[in-house]
Amino acid sequence: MSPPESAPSIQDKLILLVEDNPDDETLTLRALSKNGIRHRIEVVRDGVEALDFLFARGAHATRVGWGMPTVTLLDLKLPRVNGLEVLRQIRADARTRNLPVVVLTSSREDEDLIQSYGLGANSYIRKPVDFVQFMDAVRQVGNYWLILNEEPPGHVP
Amino acid sequence: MSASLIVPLALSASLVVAGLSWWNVVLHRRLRAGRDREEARCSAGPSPEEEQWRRAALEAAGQADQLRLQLRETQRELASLSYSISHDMRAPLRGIDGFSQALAEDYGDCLDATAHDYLRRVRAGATQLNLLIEDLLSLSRIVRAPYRPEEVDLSALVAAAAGELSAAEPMRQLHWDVQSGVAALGDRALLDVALRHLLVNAWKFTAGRIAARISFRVLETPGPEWPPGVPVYEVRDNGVGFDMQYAGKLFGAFQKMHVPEDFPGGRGIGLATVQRIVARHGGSVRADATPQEGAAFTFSLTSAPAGGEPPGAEVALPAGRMPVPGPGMTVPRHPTNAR
Repeated sequence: MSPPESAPSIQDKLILLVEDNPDDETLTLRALSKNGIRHRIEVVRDGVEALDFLFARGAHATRVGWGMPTVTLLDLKLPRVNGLEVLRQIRADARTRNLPVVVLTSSREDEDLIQSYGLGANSYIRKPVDFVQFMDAVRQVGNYWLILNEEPPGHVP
Repeated sequence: MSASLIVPLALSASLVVAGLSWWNVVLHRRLRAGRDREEARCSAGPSPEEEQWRRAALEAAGQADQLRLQLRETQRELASLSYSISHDMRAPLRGIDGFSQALAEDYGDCLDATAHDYLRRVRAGATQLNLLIEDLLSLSRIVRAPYRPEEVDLSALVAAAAGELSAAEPMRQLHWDVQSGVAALGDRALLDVALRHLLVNAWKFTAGRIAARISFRVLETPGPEWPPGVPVYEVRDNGVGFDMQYAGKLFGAFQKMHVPEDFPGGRGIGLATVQRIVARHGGSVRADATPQEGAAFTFSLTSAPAGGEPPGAEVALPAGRMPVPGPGMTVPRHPTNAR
């Protein structure tokens, strides 16, 4: 049976971008596209929506069959449920335990770094203010997580 | 909000630290005076004098506790302000820089040279503001950093930094004159930061001088402006110096002595950082300069005389001889450790 038309094939790599700032969202999408990264990108704007998407519930209950993101780019300061709590719940659930999560944030505060790694972040990238550097960071993140890195065995929620 | 808020906060944290250091000295002296009396007296009951001393010690301890609370509160405020700056102030800057660039890239053909110049200035402004934010955050990190005192070989720190500076610009001819074996009690990481700021300044302001020279030493006979018996260290250069008329502004954040065209790259954060680090050690820093002849920065790292216990030293009294001031009194640790 072929998957419903709205749901892409699970072979397609998906990037989940958790970002509440519309400017940062636009700039990140621009940087991805300028770097030739043409994968599907799902943007969610707070921690609740991120978890709903990952666990296919709430507004994303019909997501069944989409597969898990190849990489999740997670901002830390988010409305409702913050990024660290999202990360904690991702690591606490068998379905998402191995999901590659890259913290992508403005902050370089020690406590954010310590807590992110403590909760099992795969990587911590500080978004540069300079857009040229930002472009380069996005290019490297894309190349590494979408091309170089081998995904953990996928789970379909 | 940043500069107008965080600098006073950082300053008040330094002041509270200095105040605590001072109270530690006062308290320590009172405790020691009491201990001496304790040793001298026979086993009779407390004399009126002892009773008076006991009350004074309790009062001092109470005030030290209050200062410590105040310090903790200021530090908490500073931490949350820094956190907010770190998270919230960068995103709009990224927008300014990113969309200016996007405009130039996508609509560059529609813009004339003046419009491109304006966009370039917008981006330069964003970059500059970002650097200032970085500086503020690093300054606040200095105030919040843990203070771990140990015996530090200052000469070794200076020599290492000197080696790095010389290696970075091997074409420069400069004579380093570093007195060996100068040691002090302090936090190694913080002292390294402070010395590097002083040395980088000296290095920068001796550029282009003939027979440039930078020295580091401990003063044999510090001037009357220093408390007697306190070791005073000096970083001296024979660079361009500055007019002492403006020296008062020297240790404030973002104060500069030279126009950017003459000495680019400086943002006026180094000496502000030095001042806060020295204050965290209980010492102070002074500047002395003559235009076109050079500058000397002298600093102390304690307010207590050499040989005596510095304010940072823990007051350890043998239990049997301790002039117990009463229940509930705690012997103060170093103020900056009380986090």
